[in-house]
Amino acid sequence: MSQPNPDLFDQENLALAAARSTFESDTASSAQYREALGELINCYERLLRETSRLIRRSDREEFEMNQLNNRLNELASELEYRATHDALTNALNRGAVIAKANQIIRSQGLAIIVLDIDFFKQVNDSFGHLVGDKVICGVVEAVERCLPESGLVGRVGGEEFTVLLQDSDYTQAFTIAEHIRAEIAGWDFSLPQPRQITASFGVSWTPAGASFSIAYGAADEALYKAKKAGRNRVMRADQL
Amino acid sequence: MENLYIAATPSSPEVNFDFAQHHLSVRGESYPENAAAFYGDIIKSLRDYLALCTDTSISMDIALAYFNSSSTKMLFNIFEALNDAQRAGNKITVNWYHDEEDDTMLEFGQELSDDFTDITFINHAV
Repeated sequence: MSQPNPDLFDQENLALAAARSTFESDTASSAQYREALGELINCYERLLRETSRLIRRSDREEFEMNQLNNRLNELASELEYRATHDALTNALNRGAVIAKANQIIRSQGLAIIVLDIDFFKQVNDSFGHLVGDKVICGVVEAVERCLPESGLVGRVGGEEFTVLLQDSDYTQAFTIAEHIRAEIAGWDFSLPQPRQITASFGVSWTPAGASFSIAYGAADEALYKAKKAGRNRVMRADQL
Repeated sequence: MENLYIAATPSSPEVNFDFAQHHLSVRGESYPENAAAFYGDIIKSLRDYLALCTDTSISMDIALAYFNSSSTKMLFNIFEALNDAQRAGNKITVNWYHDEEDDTMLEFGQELSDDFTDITFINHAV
């Protein structure tokens, strides 16, 4: 049987105890001292050799682990990006827009602009889906050009987008929406045949702590009114 | 002498010492809670067996996918025992198995081979 409490360094401790016992003896002969020293040297050399092997191996394992960890972090952030962004436009996706809006609205007021490309189905039907995709990307690009630094844009449906403005009041949000509207209306989408692309807009503003779905519903209703009123225009939810 | 068999657990390797056939093997992963306790009795059995061997061909397969530092320290003791047995007139062959992509394990096997020069090491990439 092994000792009651086996330890990794049993062998080294034994060698140390033997050397100490000889060291403390007043009566050992010089041959005995020499023998004890020899055994200690053997043990020390072995410990040195094993320690250096162990450290080399650990260093290598650590290095590999570190590299794997870096790769893992890269993949995790890539995955997170893909899970929160629309693959076509790189705008936020629907889930990310809702999560972000809920997060903002907990602590501060939020202006929401919803916009929808006018007669988008006709664009797809006339020019095909590839051109349709190009129009969608162009719209996102036009929107991004008009946003303040803290503004966010997401694609929440096929041709429907949402802009979140956390530092804007109603008037500022309306002005930004108007700016976006004009930018899209004047944008060169390089279509096969000349045709103007426009979008309709609804704007709402909600104080901190309110419900996002009510705020979104209000902006969506304003968008509906903008469509009914002839499209290519911006409507405020508080002025319907 | 009775053979020694210890089944693998998630943190300790399978140990199969077939003393009758002079074929010993350790395979799996090794990071037991107390490596000194896990390997203590194994090394004791190994030394008892080796002490009885004279002019014997003995093979030891080591196929560890992962072993921690404590286990490494105990592995040194196993190799020390094998090296002593070779010097006592036996013929020891160690088959060192490692994943073909695991260079760290390959190099560690080569270092063991450098340190325990009396033992015949055969490297197997799998």
